[in-house]
Amino acid sequence: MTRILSPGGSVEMSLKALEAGADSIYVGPLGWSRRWKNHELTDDEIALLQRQATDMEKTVSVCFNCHCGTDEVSRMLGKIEKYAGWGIRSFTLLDFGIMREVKRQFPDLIVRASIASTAVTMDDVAFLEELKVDSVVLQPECYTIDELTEIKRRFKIELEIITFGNRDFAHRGRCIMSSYVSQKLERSPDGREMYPGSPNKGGLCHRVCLSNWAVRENDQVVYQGCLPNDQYEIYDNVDDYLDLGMDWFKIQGRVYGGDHIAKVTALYRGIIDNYERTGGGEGFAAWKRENRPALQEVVSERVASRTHQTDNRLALDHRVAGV
Amino acid sequence: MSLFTLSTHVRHLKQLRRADFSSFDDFYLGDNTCFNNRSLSSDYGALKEAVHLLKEQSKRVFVSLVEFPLGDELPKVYKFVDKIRDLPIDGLELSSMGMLHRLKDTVDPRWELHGSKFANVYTTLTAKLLKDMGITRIHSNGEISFDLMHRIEQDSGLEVIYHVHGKLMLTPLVSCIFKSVDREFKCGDHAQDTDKQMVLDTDRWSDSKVLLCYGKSMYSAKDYCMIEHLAEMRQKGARHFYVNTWNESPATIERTSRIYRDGLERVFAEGSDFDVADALAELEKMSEHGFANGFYFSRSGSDFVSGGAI
Repeated sequence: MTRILSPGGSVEMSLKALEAGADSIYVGPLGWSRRWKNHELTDDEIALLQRQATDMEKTVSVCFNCHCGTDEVSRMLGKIEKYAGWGIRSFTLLDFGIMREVKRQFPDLIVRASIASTAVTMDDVAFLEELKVDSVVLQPECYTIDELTEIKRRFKIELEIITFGNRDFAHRGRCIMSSYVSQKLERSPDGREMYPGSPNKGGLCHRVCLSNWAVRENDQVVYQGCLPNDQYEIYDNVDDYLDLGMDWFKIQGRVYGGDHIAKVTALYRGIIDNYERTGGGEGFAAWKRENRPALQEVVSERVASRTHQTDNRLALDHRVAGV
Repeated sequence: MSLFTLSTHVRHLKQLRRADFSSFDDFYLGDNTCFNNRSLSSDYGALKEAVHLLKEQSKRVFVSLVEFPLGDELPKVYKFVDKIRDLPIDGLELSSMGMLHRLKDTVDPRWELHGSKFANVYTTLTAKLLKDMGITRIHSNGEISFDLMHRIEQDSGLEVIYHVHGKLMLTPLVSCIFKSVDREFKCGDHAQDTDKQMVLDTDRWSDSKVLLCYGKSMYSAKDYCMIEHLAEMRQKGARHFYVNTWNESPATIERTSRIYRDGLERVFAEGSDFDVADALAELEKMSEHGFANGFYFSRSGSDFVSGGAI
């Protein structure tokens, strides 16, 4: 049965999402994920969350989904070993070399390939399975349902799909626009090099794509506004993903509020439970129609919050960037 | 054997014909962001002619494969790779791990496999993985410092090609910007208009506020410029160098490549610095938006660090 993986940008968000029906929570350890420190957890918080999730018979997954310096790899592996000692089994990684090394050193741990590893074809999935990666996050816009069905048929690797999030203008994990305009060096409390401005290296993204751009061709403005970056969800054809046996519905959003994440989680919990209850078909379609207002509410909340954050990001970014 | 190599990308045959590329040794042919734009990555006839032209000049030729093929692009790419087996190319450039996984044991064993800039090598572990999969050389990761990239090169044995001049590609795009702003646009329309580009500007971000976009690639408007650092790079062991000539005039291509060729020959022959002041002044005249090289020094990419700082 499809499980829900919800974001844990704070302990509070994590617990709310677990109570709302998430099967697992993904969190970023301070200084080691693609989000800024405001949305990452300390080791003490991760330990606390792991205990509480275990009591609820649920799990925590830790995201080392940024690239560390080559000198920091042993430190990352040390942290993974420490968290594994607390009972955490699942880790999202980005660097292919580190994925291979983790599976070599800790073959029983679950390795998930981050969405920023840019697996956009069946051959990418085949490569990850050969690397012994256990799960991969996919972007819905890159795969048809037929392709996903074929992948499920051919490969053992678990598939996660982002069910509620935003489409990026650039290929995730490959964009350096943010650090081009500004990056600085800071150190995390445990001495790791962080680069606010480079999400790839562990730090906030300045969302350059969401600036107000004038796009000109031959000196004529042909477009004005932010670069394509729309909110999406898979509500309308969620049946297709459930039918093919998608392993995980991943909800994006460590940077949003706990109440909002709880609402999105509850909505997708309802989707999965009612799909199981009705067997799909007209009964499920009726349930979806009835609950569409709940979807519209969380979409509006998300869009408003993202706009507000991006507008406020100017002041925050300029303080961080020193421009 | 040459002490160093100087390389560049060329998207279309038209660009190759209209400019003097004689200062370069290695050529990456095609557009690795899109299969449908009739570049040398997908137009067999044009590629055959381009390879013939370059081989007559004893140049080395690599075909750039699309990095993130979407939809129906992937089978087309494989079909194209099959078709080009009869061409006397030296190898392929690619960064899709899936494609590399599929092709590594089936391509011509004489072909070298080079990783593109977006192979995302940040650690020695990944460099070693790529080497195990058959990659022998990679373009330097745009975002990391020279020191770190060089350390990865030394520790992994994977050769690195260092970007020393020209626009820096900042990201491949999911969607084509030409199609996004023009509903009438048809794929391949720009194959004949090799100067086509979009200029993006904003009132944020002070002096890095201009970017350039071509199809599914976003570039800096500033030119990366490492002319003042060639001697130090050579001293630290760099051997392979890259100049991006995308969208430059024939005069700029010829002059820029000649400046770097001369500079590298002096640096490698004498093992010492050369007088860069004139070279820098001439490069500045050809650079509309100024210079950048900050990533090499662990700074913002749009920063420019002058000589002697590596």
